[in-house]
Amino acid sequence: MASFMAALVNFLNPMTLLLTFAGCLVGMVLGAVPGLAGGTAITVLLPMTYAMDPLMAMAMLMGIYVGGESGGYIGSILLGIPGTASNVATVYDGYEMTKKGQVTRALSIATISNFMGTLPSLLIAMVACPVIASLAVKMGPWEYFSLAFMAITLVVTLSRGNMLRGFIGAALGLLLTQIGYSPISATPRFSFGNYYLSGGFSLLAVLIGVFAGSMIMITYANAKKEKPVKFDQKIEKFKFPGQAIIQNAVTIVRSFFIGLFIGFLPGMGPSLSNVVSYSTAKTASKHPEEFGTGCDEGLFAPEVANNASIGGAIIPMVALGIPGDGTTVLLLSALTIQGINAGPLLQKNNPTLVSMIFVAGILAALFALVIQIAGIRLLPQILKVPYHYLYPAILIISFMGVYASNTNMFAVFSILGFTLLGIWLAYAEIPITPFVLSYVLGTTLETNFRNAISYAGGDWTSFFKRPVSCVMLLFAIGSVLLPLIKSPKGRATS
Amino acid sequence: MTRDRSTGIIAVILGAIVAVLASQLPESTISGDIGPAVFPFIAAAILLICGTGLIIVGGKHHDSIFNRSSLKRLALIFGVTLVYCIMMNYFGFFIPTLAALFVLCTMFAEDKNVTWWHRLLYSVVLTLAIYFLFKNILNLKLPG
Repeated sequence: MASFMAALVNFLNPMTLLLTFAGCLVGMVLGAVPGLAGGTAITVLLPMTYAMDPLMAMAMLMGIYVGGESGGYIGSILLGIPGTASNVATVYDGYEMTKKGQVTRALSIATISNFMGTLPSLLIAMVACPVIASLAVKMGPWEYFSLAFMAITLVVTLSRGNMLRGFIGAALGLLLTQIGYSPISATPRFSFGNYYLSGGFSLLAVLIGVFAGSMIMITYANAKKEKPVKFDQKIEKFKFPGQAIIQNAVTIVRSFFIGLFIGFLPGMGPSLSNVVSYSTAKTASKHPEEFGTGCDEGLFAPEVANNASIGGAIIPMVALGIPGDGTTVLLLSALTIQGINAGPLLQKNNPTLVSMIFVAGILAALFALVIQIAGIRLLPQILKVPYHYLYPAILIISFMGVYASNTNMFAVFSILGFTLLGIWLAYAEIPITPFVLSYVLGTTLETNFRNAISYAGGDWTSFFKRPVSCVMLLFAIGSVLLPLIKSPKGRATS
Repeated sequence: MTRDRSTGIIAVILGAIVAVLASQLPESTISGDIGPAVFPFIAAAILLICGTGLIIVGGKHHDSIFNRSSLKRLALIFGVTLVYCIMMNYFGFFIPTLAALFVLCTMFAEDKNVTWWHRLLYSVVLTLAIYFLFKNILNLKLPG
């Protein structure tokens, strides 16, 4: 409670409040623009957090995270083009409502759905994190290894595309963590006598190259293929959809828990929860034929679920140091940049920072609600953001950020290498989340594996002799084998 | 050749190189430690197994995200960014950033009616804003 109050006191500083608000607004704009996402803003601004107070940095990044998830529906509803993968299912009924001339109703429902997803999920995360962390501190290196292994395996098996490609992505991420001094024995590996490689590649260079650099270059390369879509309807004042909420209460509650649970699963998140929630709502509905024609239920389901995934994804990040989705990988990286070790001890060692994550998230949800209610008529303007100004700015600010945090040109040139890697991953359809998660968790994986074997006197079976570790490993192995049994060619697609 | 097969071949070659390099790593000096080569071997094994799997399964011919024209555009933007980094190495922050912003803005605004002085003004303002933000507000270093 004291840490919660300490976090609240931080918001008496107008700068913290301003950064959270600005983060929310920037996240909302980038989340709304098809092709970009709130995660892009976090990637670009990550290097700047290096020079910031950790509490302020986290407040700003949480603002972007919540804002990004809250702004994604704008493109889906107004243009029929999802702003992010988290809003794919929103198109099905949201855009249909727009076509029927019910755009204000669609925007009002989505705004309230976002809030109904974000706020309770953050409150649940706030209660759940200390409980899970207190259990997690009892874990040894066997359990930590198994947990990280399970997280990566689940991401590979549940993420889009071919499982083989997913594992190649994970192996590449793991390989990248092998460059530089090895943990435990401090043996130089794959640095070839290069001074800059002895500490491994810059985390920021990898993230910016793979996320921002490749995204901008691919967008430019394919720019001529896309036809601009225009929105020319009139939007009325926000109308609180009270009756629709009551009528769809069951769908809302169900979607909330689907979103929370999927968000909690390592590596999963709103990109999956919105689709699962939509299809579950359709299956459970008394009027499934109305889905896809612009019904309220079909809009509540994805929009509540994708925002409920925020709290779900934060639970493993805060309590275990395992990111719940792609954006929490970036938030976890922000902690690393600040020299803070994420994991079960985070809550004990940095209670105010943890409380800040929740308080900033809740505040950002309130900001998003107010911005979207008060500015409902201005939402189409977000989609008119001038790309020709935005993309060069993102590219240059990213490069400067990496230079500033590393103070050497090697890190800047390595962004170009990772941009090429990101482009190749996109070309080869290798999912990016297994790569990034494996890269972020690679050192944890290796350190705990080597420690566990060492403590067990060289007994490799010790991982299966400890019940929690054994269950997690069996779960991970099962998640790989099950799709193979179902489909002999291993073409497990979600 | 399908995209999956070419991905598989790259993975197998990379896995083989990593395995060879990992075999040259020294033993750990710490008693009971399995050594620094185990994880590179694991990464190499995954690449070899999954790469071989992709070669065998083969996949189908799909439309690539790039065609001849988009590859040219990709090479162009990558080239501009590379030149920007090289210039920054020799001339510092201001001139290369200003030039890169103007060129990139021109490239992205190709089919829009954005006058040259709008692009120039934007480049100057953003260059100064980045300098002010990094140097004066965040106290961070910039090249040069």
